[in-house]
Amino acid sequence: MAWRLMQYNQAFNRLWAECTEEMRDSIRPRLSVVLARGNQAGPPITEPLGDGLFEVKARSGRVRIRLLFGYLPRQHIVFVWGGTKDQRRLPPATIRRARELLIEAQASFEVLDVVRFN
Amino acid sequence: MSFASIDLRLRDLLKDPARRRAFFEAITQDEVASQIRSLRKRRGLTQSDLATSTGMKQSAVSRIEQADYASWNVNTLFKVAAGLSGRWRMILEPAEDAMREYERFDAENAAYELISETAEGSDEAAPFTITAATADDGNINLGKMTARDEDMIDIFMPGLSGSGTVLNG
Repeated sequence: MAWRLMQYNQAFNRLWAECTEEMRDSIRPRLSVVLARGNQAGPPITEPLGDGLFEVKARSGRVRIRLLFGYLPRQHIVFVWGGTKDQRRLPPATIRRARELLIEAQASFEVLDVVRFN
Repeated sequence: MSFASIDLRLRDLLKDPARRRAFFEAITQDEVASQIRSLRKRRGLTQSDLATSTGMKQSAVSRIEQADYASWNVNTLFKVAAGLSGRWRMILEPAEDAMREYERFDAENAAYELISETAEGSDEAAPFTITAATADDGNINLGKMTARDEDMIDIFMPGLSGSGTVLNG
């Protein structure tokens, strides 16, 4: 089964709407590798942030495009936060929020799984 | 609170020769960096170890392991491969084959619905979002669920009860 890239609460679509086509083109290759290789796409393509949260990022000129995601059962990947921060490091509050969203997404996924497989 | 698929819209990108070239180059850069780092870790080597065995500087090894780096040359890559007791396998394939592959990945992913099967009690296979509140804070472990669009769902499980709403996604 192939990997599935999902988004939680439109995190990806919101980021996409903020991006120019040039910015999108800078992160498309990296997301394509994640889509093809899933959890085998380790550093430097994806970086672990701890507690099951990972980051994939790209640079377009001076802008850094970042997406935070986690893995769900059955080869699902869920993006929970996206942004175009200029900072070199993400603020701890952003990472904390992304972790909360990932926990929420994991719980929701469990519910959906019960519907799907029972 | 909902899940949705992601459409990278690679179709348009891959039709444009300049954007396609940049896309393929970026993927190759990512793969080169990823493979060097991965084999180095597997060999239990630090960047300094690899630098010593290849006659490179540690900073050069660090650079070559960065996904965006593209200024390596074939001799450097051969040197790194030797330092890691590895080899490069180079495959030059027609762009149309690679395009087909990426377009298929992307199209399948974009069309993917987390719930595509019809849930018990539901008349159609439309994707939907479920919000559920349980008595047990955060520990959502459901034994049985019946779901119909825009109906309430009931949750049955010994020692745990709650309810939620099925919404059209």
